Amino acid sequence: MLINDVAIIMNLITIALLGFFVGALLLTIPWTFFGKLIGTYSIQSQKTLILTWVLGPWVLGLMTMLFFSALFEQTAIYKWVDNVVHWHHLYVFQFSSWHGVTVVLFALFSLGLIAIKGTQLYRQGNAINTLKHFSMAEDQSQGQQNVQIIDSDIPIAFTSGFFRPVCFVAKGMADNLSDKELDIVMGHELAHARNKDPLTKLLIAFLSAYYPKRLAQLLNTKYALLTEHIADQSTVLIHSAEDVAATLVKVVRLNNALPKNAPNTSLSFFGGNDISQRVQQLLTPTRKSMPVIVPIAFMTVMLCFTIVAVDATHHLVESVFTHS
Amino acid sequence: MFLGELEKQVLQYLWSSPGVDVKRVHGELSKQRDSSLNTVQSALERLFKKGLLSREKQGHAYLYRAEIARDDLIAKLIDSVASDFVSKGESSLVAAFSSVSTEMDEEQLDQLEQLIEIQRQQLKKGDSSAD
Repeated sequence: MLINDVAIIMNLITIALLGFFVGALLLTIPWTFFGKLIGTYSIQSQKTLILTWVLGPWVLGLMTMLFFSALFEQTAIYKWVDNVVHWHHLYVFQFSSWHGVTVVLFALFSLGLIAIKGTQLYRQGNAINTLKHFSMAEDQSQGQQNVQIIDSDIPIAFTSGFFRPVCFVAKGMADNLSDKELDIVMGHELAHARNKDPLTKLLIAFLSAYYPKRLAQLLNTKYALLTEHIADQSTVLIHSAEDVAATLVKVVRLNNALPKNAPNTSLSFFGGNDISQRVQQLLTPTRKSMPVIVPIAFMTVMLCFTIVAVDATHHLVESVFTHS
Repeated sequence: MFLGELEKQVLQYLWSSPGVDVKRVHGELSKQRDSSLNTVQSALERLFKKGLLSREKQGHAYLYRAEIARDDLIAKLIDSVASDFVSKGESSLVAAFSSVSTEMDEEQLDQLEQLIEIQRQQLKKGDSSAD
């Protein structure tokens, strides 16, 4: 049993975790009812909403932890919080209690996750370096970004790398497109590199790995599609939306023309609907905007609920363990 | 697929000079890097075990040649860049211009093209009526 400052830290971590679980559960309710409406908002609003959903439980967990900590002890907020909720014996922590089990399980899951994702990242990094080695190694500068030409007939263009993203374009893509079409493809890829999309996708994948698998997949897929919409939008500043949409369809046709047993047929990032959605979004963009105050107000309400629910859950579990 | 620096160089050399023994490979690579004959031999062995090289015995030595063509290896690498990180259903961490979707058939693509064409014509009409 710990009775010292470490115990306080461990208890605060337990509070943060409980806040995270309660927050995730609370956010699932509006997602179930309003999730389908997200698609009617503008791309930027959709991005804000998805980020609110992904980051929400983490922020709620951390905020709840801060409210229970000594940070606000001298403030009126602390008095209010203390009147409504309180955590008994904050300075006592026992690893064999449910608090301890929660923290240990979370730590083990996190370590496992870091190990798995780290290994996958390392392997992917090696594949990219090998690809650079065998491709033409041509450092063609477009603006400030790196563009690497791959000496391959496969019609593909993609961006990879977390801190210094590199755009790869295969000769099979460049040779089959007109100058304008290639400019659209490169504009799209450079937008991904500017927005550091591979990195943000990694963060979203990591943070959402703690959610139920189906929800995590949904959030990742929706976020990935948004990054495509945003990259498409940046090309529309220079080219017409119809030209961008037509290029997209042409590239899909080029991919379809590959023999079915070609080694790259598993290069499928999205389902067929996503290409339709991107074309639809280009031709008739959704413009309904959501004021930023809405998610902020929503999260504030959620925070109040979470703080109260953490206290209630704590008492409930404690009484179950004490009386059982 | 994981390839070390030396393995990449060996493979690169064997594409241009197929059917050579370890001494020839070592002789060529020693111009670029300081590797012992044993290290090169180990790299050849690893590539052979990975199925990237084939070999035939001639006298006391093995003659090595690349089993995979350069284009095929690049295709494999592109595939692993795109799919290594993700489990099924999760989105990839590379951002590609378009998905290579087997779901999207010609009919659906035709419909999308028609949609684009209709929009072009509507915009043209709008422009000409504005004139």
